[in-house]
Amino acid sequence: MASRSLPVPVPRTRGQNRDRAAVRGPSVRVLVAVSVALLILFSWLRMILALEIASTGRQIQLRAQDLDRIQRGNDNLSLQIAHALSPTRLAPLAEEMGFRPHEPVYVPWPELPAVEEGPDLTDQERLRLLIDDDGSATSQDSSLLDTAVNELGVLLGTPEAP
Amino acid sequence: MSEENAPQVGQFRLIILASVFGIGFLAISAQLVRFQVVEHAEIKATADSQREEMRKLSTPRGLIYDANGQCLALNITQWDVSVSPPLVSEPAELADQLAPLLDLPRDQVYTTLTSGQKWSQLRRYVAPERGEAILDLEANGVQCAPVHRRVCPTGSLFAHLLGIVTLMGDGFYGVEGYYDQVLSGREGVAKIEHDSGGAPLPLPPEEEAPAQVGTSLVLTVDSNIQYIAAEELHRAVEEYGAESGTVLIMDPRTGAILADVSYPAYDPNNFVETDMKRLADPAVSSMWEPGSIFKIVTWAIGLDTGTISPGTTFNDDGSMEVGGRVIRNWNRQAHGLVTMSDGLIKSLNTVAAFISTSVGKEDFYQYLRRFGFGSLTNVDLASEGPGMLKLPGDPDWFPSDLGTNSFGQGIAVTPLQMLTAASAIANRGLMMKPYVVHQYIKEGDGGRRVIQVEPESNRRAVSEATALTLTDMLVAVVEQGATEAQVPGYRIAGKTGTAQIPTAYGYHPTDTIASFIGYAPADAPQFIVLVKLDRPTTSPWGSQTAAPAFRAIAERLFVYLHIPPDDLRVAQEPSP
Repeated sequence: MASRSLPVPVPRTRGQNRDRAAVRGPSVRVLVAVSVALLILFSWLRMILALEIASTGRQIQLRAQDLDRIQRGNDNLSLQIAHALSPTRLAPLAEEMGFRPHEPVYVPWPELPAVEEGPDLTDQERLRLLIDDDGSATSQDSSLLDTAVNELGVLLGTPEAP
Repeated sequence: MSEENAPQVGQFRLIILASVFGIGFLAISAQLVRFQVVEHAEIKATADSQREEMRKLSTPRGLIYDANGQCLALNITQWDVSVSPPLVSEPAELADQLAPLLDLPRDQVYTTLTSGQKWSQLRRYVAPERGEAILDLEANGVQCAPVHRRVCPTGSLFAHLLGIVTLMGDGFYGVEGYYDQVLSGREGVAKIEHDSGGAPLPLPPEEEAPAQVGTSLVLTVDSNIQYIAAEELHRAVEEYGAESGTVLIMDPRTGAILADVSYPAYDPNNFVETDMKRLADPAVSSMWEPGSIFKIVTWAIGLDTGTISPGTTFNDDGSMEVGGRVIRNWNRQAHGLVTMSDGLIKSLNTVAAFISTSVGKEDFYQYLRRFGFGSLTNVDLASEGPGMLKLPGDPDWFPSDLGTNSFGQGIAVTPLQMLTAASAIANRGLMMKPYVVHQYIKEGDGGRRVIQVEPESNRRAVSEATALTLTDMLVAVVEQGATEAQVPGYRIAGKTGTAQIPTAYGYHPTDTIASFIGYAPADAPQFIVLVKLDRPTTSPWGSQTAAPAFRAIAERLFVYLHIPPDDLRVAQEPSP
């Protein structure tokens, strides 16, 4: 009877391992290439970012300068407005235009009767009501009051009472 | 050398080379350790200082407004213009452009531009719009350095009240001095990076500490009332030949100061040319012996202690001795049997001395302290003085002072102290703390915040009944004595004063300080006015100088504040 040999596992050689490794992962060249590519990519990104920061920074600087300029212009305008509204400037101007503190008109009146508030009465009409309502006014008082009404009309800028 | 020794020599050389490299490596390593570990902090600090700059972020000073919103103090940027002549390429053309903007002769500018100096100042404090125009030229070699300045658009009108701000941004006197820290805000700090040439890198500044904007203030003072007071004071000083003067107007119900004017004033925009002595506000810092207007206080004390009533009589024989000193009336006359009302109308010194001696020194001086004499009113204005009040027990107090103090001699007060004391009578006995600022406006990240200042009562000086009785007596003073202060149609309570001026050799023989304090309408006062004229020459008397000035101011205030004549006002008031 012829004997049959049992199957024996063949030991793996070094070459076989290398081949398998070559199949499994990328070669060194590829690795280097990828690394270089990544390096270039990151450098490029970094440069773009740095440029972007510098550009934005410059924009901020320019905007800040604009803001400063506007603020200075604003301050300047505020000063001009304050000058224009100052009583030290307005009062002489008003006087030039004919406005000045008017001498008050004092009307002697022994008892001033209360006047009901009318809806559409002017100050002039209200004063005239006072004159008309008080029967005790003498002709001298009336003429004095007429003068006062006219004075009031001038002060209020309304046409002179008839 | 034999061939056998050759490998040994090569090995020896290798050892030498390795040693040199090793030593070099060690040396470099040692230096690296020194730079990066041992001297790390120092070297980093040096590098940072060369590359980084901590720049202060200036913050604008808060603005000041009057009660109507009119701006009284604001900030502008002026320019210091300088030039580096070697950098200028076309001096003739640049001189043509710069000369009109700098308001300098063209030849002068051209000479500077061609002088060959490294640097030269062309002009300081160039107006804002001109500075901007020079900046727009973008001329090589021309530098514009900003200078922040405080400006008061109303000029001298508010000089004493507002005070001054130096070029360094520090406030002194008045509101600027008192509220300096509030107005200044807080400077911020930002880190800025430079390149190797020292030019700032175009990077946004990194804020280390943000700047805090100064708080703006709204005053109780009304520009129009201030103008009325200033105009009438100026007129009075001119008309009566006075040396100087002060007008103070206050709302006695709240203590709000409506006007504070002193003459002569100065221009706060150019205060460097003013005598330093004139910078402080005389209304709060200068003292004077008040004279007869002080009788308001003496009479109030007499009434409040129950020592006198309006009808109490006193036999005036023209003089009275107190503490060894003879006190006489202003006209050196005897008036016989007079009531306390008459004594006030005729302003009799003997009656005043009678009241103070009858009240007694303890009560009299206790009341003077209660009225605030000898202490600060604590008004929110810088450089306030406390006046001078000698008290029993003080080494310089004499028994005769009890008599002389009663009619305003031997005691020194500030105009504001006197006005505050009199305002207690106008406000039915309650003394309000005088104040100038009634709103703070804070600008911040959270937006604008407005803080209101509420009126504050100091204390009750006298009872309401005393104040009302004294008001009636003071109305009689104006109606029967100081008639120059009367305004037809209105009841005015007031008192004149004619104070002698103390000198090193006694009182000045002729010069006086004339004054008047009055409030109106007497039954519901809306304003109280103090007029003080120093050394009037046309007449020494307060009744002939300060009283008419008061009348002129009161007349205009009635119109401006829409206060109708008493009869009409009472008729309009709703019945209780």
